[in-house]
Amino acid sequence: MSAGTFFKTFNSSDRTTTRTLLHEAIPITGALVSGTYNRTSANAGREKNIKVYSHDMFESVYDYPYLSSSANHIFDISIGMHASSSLSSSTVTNIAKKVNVYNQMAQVLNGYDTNGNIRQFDVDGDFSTSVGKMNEAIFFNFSRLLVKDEIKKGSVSLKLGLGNFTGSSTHQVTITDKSGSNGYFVNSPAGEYGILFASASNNIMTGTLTTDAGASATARPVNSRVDTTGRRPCGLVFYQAGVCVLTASLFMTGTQVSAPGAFLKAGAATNTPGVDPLFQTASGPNRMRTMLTGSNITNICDGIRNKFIDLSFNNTTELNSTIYFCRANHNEFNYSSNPTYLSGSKIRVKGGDILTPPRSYVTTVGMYSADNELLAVAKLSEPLRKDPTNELTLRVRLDY
Amino acid sequence: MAFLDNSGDIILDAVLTDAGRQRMARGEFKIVKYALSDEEINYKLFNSTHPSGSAFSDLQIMQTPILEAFTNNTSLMKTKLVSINRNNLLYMPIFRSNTKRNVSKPVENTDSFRIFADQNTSDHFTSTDIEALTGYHYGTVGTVNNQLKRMISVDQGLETSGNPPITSDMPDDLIETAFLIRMDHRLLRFYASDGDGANIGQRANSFVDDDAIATYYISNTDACVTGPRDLYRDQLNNDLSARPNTLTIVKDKEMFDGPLGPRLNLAPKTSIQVQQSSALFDELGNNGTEVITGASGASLASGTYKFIDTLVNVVGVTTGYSIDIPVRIIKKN
Repeated sequence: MSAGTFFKTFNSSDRTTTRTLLHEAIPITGALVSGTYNRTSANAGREKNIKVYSHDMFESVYDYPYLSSSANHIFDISIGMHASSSLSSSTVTNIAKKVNVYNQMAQVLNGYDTNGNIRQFDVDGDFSTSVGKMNEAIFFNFSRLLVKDEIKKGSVSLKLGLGNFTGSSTHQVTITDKSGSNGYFVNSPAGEYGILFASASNNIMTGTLTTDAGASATARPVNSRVDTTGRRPCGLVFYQAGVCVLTASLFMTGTQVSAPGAFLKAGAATNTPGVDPLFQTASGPNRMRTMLTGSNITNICDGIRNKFIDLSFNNTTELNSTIYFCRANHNEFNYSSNPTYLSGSKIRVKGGDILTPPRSYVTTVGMYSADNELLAVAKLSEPLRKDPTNELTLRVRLDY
Repeated sequence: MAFLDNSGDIILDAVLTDAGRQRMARGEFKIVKYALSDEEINYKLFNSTHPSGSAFSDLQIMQTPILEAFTNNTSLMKTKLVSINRNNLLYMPIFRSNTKRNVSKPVENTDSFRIFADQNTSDHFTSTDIEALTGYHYGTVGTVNNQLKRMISVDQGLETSGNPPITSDMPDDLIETAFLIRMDHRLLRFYASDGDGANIGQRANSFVDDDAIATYYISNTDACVTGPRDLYRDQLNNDLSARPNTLTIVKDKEMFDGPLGPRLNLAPKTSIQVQQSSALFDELGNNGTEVITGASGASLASGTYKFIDTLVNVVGVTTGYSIDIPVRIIKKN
């Protein structure tokens, strides 16, 4: 007769591994990004949840006043300008920092060409041509807390105001990665990325099929190409890196604009012909072109924050799981070492009858190392009866 | 920890323990076996004579709410389910700390044992004093003769009210084959007799977990495990006719009135840290208020010593039965 035991060893068929993608919806309202928390003079006139830095390279948005330990970092905003931009000159405010930010982000997200030069951001993802390069870029760098392992492809939706100062229902642009789930690129050193497409309300954006005469949509340069629903490429989203890159020309009118060209019809957004929409910054109202040349990065970021209507995306967490099947056969685990199991040494559940089958109640599964150290534990939400007439298989999944 | 929602489907709430996470960090995480437990179940709620029938006998047990899993590895799996390959058992063996033998009696009117932390403390008393202080142990390895006069004995047996009697054999499948002993590694080391009657020796632990709890695996071939028939039981079986009072002697020394299993004998000693420093007593302990007086008149008065209360846990690998033995470590200021 074999001795009793309470350990049972897993064999190879009791264990399997799986991979699951878990998605969460991440909504960020414009009110959180600007306006909810009081502006304070101590924070240079900004809301308490906006953290700025003396180095003036970016600013950070928190979901709560950032001095509180309860605050979570949501995302950073920054601005970059390529050295070849038509706006770039030695007189541009903090030009070195704007170029440095652009180059840093481009190094990480675009990598280098065969000559070792940093590749420019390209609105169509085609690095081999000179078409579609973004010379002035707005960066939204989302924290890992939100992005987790990556942004779900095809889930990005960003609304920005195109009217003066803040967003309005009549003048706004909706930016999506509409082709993300089946039209993404893999030629970035930072992982997969997709194109962000802009579509604006009230016919205020240039390049739409409905208003542009002349060449067909596909014959136009890619940087101004629109699809049949009026969407136009305006930036990139790097899914694993959790970064959105938008062209600053999204807020510009006219023809003297760096690639990929002005997005707004003259006056369409502001109702003032030929005039770009105004941004609200800590240093007063300003327009994108003027800000790019005359404002520091933090002030430009303030203006962009105030255009923020809302943003949503789904994040992705990759769960690698090991599933353990804990099997209790009919002749196993029918007795208990619970002190209440016995009265003296007599088994209570037998009611004094030796022929009554034993029974026990499972509430917990413990998983052990070879030297009997408890490594993982699983609790059932209600007791399971175990007796010689039944068999149980408890499926315990450990996620990593 | 909150209760698990038991209003719908049965769910399993699984977590890694702190020890599991620590092993993962060390790259030593490997699950090789499992056990089932019935923590939270109170079998006293089982009503085999329920007036509505046997289907209702475990109604209250099945309604037991279950707590979420703790992550502390030492807080869980205290009462395990046992596989025994037959259904006709009416009795199961249990553990008792043997309080009847002089060598293993606890402190009078308590169930706990006292260990002198260092030689400075034990030298405060004469060896005769200590011999007379029931339940007091040397914490340092001294003369063997003294060491072997004090043990903590954990007996396995059946409480059957004499039916079957103490003279019956314990069924083979219920005899403990090994023991898991857990004790705080900051405070204690596991020493036990080497079996030659002349030496005690330290046993090697299997591992020390993140909470500094050391686990020792002791099989029943170790010299510190005797039985299932020890001296008294041998006398009982061999010489009963020749010494009719043997049964009385046995009953006076045994904790059970039914069949007997093996006996585990421990002689825990204090760690170097406890012997050489009072830091742990300041952190974990208290000032002693009880006066400890030896037969010679030597005494440790209130406020002249510190103590730490701890537990030694013994689990039977065969039956899963677990017992906690309270131990107080005493250090003279």
